[in-house]
Amino acid sequence: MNKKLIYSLMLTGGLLAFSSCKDYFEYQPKGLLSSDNIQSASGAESLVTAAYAGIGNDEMIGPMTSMWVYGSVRSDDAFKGGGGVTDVAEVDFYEHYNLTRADLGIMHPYTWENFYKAISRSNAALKSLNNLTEAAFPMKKERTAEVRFLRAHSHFMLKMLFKKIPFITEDLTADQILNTPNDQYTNDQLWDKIGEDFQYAVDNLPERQEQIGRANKYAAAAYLAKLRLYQAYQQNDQHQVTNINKDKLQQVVNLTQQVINSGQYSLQPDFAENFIAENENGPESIFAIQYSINDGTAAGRLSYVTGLNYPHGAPQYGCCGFHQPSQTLVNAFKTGVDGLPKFDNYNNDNLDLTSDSVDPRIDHTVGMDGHPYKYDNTKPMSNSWIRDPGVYGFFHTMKEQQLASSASYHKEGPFIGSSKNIDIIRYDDVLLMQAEAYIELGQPEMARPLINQIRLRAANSTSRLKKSDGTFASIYNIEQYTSTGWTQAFARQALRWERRLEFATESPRFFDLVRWGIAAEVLNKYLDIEKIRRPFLSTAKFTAGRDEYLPIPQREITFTKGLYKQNPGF
Amino acid sequence: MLRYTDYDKISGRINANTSAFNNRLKIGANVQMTTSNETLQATDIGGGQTTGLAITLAPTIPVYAKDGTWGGAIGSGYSDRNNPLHMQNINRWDNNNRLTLFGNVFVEVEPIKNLFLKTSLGADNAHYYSKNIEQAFEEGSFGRTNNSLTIDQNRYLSLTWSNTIRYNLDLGDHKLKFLGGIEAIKNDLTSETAKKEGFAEQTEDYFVLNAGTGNSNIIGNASGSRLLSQFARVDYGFSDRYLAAITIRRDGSSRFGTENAYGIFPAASLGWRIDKENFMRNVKGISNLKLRAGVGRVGNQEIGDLARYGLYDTRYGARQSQYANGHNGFFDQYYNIGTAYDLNGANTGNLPSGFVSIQGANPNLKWETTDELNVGLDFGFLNGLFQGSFDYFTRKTSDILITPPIASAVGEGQLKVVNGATKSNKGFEFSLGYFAKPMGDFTYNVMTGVSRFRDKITVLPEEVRAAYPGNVTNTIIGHSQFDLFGYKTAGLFQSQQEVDASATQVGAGPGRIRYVDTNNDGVINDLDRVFFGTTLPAFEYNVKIEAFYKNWDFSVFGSGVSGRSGMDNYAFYNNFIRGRENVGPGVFDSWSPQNTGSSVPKLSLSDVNNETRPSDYFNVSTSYFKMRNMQLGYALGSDFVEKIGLQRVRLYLMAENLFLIKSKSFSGPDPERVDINAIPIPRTFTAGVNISF
Repeated sequence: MNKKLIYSLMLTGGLLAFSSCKDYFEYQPKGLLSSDNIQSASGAESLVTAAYAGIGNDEMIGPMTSMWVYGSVRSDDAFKGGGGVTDVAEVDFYEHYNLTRADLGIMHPYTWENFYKAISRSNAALKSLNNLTEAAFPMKKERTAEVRFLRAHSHFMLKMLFKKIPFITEDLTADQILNTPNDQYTNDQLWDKIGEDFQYAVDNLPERQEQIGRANKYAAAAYLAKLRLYQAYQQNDQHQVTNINKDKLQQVVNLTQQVINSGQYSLQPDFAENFIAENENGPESIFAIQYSINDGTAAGRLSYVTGLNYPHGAPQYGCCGFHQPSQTLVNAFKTGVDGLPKFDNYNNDNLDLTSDSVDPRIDHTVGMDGHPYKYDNTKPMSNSWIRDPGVYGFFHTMKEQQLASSASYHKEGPFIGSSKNIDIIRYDDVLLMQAEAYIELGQPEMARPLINQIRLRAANSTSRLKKSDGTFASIYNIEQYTSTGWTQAFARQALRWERRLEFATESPRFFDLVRWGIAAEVLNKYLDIEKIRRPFLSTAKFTAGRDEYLPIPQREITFTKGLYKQNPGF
Repeated sequence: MLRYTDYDKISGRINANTSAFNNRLKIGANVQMTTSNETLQATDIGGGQTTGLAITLAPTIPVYAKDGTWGGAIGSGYSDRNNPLHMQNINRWDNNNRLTLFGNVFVEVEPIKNLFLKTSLGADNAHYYSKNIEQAFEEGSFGRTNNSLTIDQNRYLSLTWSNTIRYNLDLGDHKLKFLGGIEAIKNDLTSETAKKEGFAEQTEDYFVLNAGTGNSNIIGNASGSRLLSQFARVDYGFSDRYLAAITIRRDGSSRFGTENAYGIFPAASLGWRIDKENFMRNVKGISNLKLRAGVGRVGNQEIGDLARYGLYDTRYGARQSQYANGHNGFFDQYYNIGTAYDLNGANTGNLPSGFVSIQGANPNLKWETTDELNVGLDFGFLNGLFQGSFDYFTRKTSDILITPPIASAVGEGQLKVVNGATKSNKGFEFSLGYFAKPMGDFTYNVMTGVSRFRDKITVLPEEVRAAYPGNVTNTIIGHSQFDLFGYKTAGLFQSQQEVDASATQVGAGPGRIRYVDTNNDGVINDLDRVFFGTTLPAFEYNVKIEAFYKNWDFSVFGSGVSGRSGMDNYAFYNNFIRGRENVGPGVFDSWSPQNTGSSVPKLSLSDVNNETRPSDYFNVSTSYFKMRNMQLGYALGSDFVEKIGLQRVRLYLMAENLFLIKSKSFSGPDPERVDINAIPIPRTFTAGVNISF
């Protein structure tokens, strides 16, 4: 009886095992989706959302949003800061220019990777969108335009940093991508390819988006204007500007005019409001990377890209003292008795706050001993906040930081995150882009009111700058430009200075200098003076024809077996 | 070795067997339980391990402050690392608990003589529970303001059901054994991690998830795999002189696509007792001689359970540190990789979210296979005075499973597991013992062993090239996986003239390491990297000597490797100023215009010349010999022992890891453990008693 039972058990067991083996191997993934699951309208919508997240998936050691490493530290605006030159030495190498290597382990290789991750998210969304009909997904056209805007943004950033990049679209298979070189297009053609995505976005996006984090028509127009402005300054293979294309400049004027005429945007009444988390998504913000806190994630979808950049010795922050303004930048804020920049002799001696008058934007930009830091006069900046003054001096950046008491602020481990958005294009930039285009088109008089609009706002931005005793820490004197002597050459100088002060430490400076074709000249002149003040720069040197761009990451060249061509000089 | 680390383990086992019907039916069960608790080495806020920090931290940082609280770095000139003893202390409540229940029941019947049917069901149930408490603290100018508790647990259940049929056939000189069977294995793993911040009290008892009032975060996963195998084996023996076996297995795995789920793995072996042959009867000197040979194929399926699928995942607000393949374990905590985005610009509240590709599909994934051939000889001479064996093997591994890196342009989450390279392995093992004849009360034995192997990558599809060392022009084909790849050096630049006359090298200068322009293109860059050595030893060897005299016994055992080179990680710390870290005495001999003979580069705050890059500068002899165990014992007289009711009492003294011999060129303490984060192996002395009842 027992035996029979066992026999029959074994027999059925054996049969079960054999008969069900086909199903037996069908172990289905748990909690995950395959590509079949996402071919629906809601799937496409989700992929679009993920594509937005992609452009904000930033990394301290591979920045995508704030370009402080590549644009501010590499310019005459600021130093790396932190605990001496070896603290995140890669940034010190960029700052020296001549120590930059293609095979650095962090920073530019990860920036490259992160932008291509973002592009692949856009392409995944586009693939899904392309397979849907308008009937199945009525938002198809708008969402397609948004995603192409996002893809163009990533390509634009990559091109600005690396110049020669593979241009990746949704129709390419993985194998085709691996066979896409980085010199497939000429410099001008590549701008046009990226421009096509922006143009599609201009043509198909609504004027307003209910969800303000999405790109609208004017964000696309402003970005396309930016692209055309870069494209107008035609570069040869040695990165020299060989010609300024008038047709492209005219497009800049037209596109920026669309944004201005929309009436949706204006300058914030106070310059400060661009740098305070509580005022984000204001009328000046045309497109921003959105961050958030108390949003169901572990600590918030925060931006940590400037997480090292808070004053090290300030008890409320405690880390890590990176990104310190240069003396040259501080001196650039000097104004003469006429309230205008001291273009020629500003850097002959250091700013003396007891006698020199300054542009008020200095106290929005540079933390200085005894001055309110971040508009908080109860906790003024102190020299004791500086981590390594012997190397980098006593100034600290201020625009990208938030108050420790802000709801946007979160300290995680030693570093600091913030839910403050990072603006990609602001209205002040749009005005100055139009002014630049007018000047180079030979119509400097059209540019003057635009620049003056910026200066007037700066002049009116002092109410948050008072010390606790009600006085100002600096002597402000800023005036608008008059028509007297407003030649094209003077206007050009004024425009370039205006951009320098308006966006100081925000990182456009380096890319402006490269666009204008004057990076080597300006930066070597800066180094000649600054290295006397800051001897850590003594061996720094900018080599024209090389240092305008970052090297293509060595590992990408290795991965593609030399398909990618390195930039000259590396 | 490290304060506040801990490990304890309890295990138990029960076996129960019964039989009935004159042994025709056997039923058995066994259960084994193991539980362990472990408090591991701590890391600081930046992920630095205590052992590594002990080497790198500046010695001027105090362990304790004047007021008795924990000390830390204050002021500029220090790195942002934490006091490692403090870190050990505040992590002392961390615990990793493992509970494993392993059980098996079987029924075997013998319906007709020599025919056995057996069914067996086994279960392996493993539970892991880890508690990680991150306390808030202050030391020097550093600290953590927000404390947290993370509970990480997973449960693994593996069920194995096997059914076999055996038949033994005895035909006098010919003996045959037949075995056939099927086996099914089902593995499932689920895991959950819960994290809570904001605990008002910092006591061990208070760190329970409910007590936290801050942010909370929960993540969890599930995966599993299935294996199904059929197998058959025939054993054949002829008059104890010849032994042969043939096995064939067919293994199926759910990790591969249905097309490639199965692999067939045959094997055969042969044994020949030469000494039992008639023609050997008169050869007096040879007491044992056996030739062995085997050939076979085995499969490997050690990849992720879901490796073949193209997968999309919702990663709401994830950071890279929660997943594998990150950039930098520490910075990955600050690296958003999520799919949620504040499209509404609301700044708070639940976010719209999407999903993202996390793995490329490879429906053609299949078993990695290794074909092996081995030949061995066991021998004994002069009535067992000398005994030993020699084995030679060759292996060829094909379709090696690997996840190669890929150009970033392909995009996010496109890495996939592929079958790639082919590797060949060859090697031998030789052992020889001398068992001396007793000389009165004294006897001794000497046993030695030596082995060597070499491997070589022979096939390297382009798809997996980047997974191995190499650059655009040099691939690993023809090289060992253990070969070193990097730059060659040619001493230090002695003058600016030498720098100017050499290939362009970023960061070059007098006193700096000169790298070799191996491709003569006038620039030192990636293309100059070459294979320059191997970490494979020429030989590994061991020796054991035992001696006995009356009640005394003595033994020594040592082993080592010879002809091996490798990277001296300690040279980084010994020869270079490393920013704000501790420096070793090597810097006292650094190059200067007055000390041009030195091989230690000129002192420099910043590694502008990238001298820590992999190069032969750090390649030194890592050969060693270690005296692993030395023992002296004395057994008490048997009369006395029996009187007190025991079988045997032995007193002994033992020294483990007594000393090691290494090359002077290796500047670390132990070439066997070149990682500076490894906990050193202690030298231990033991005095003990063995008692047998």
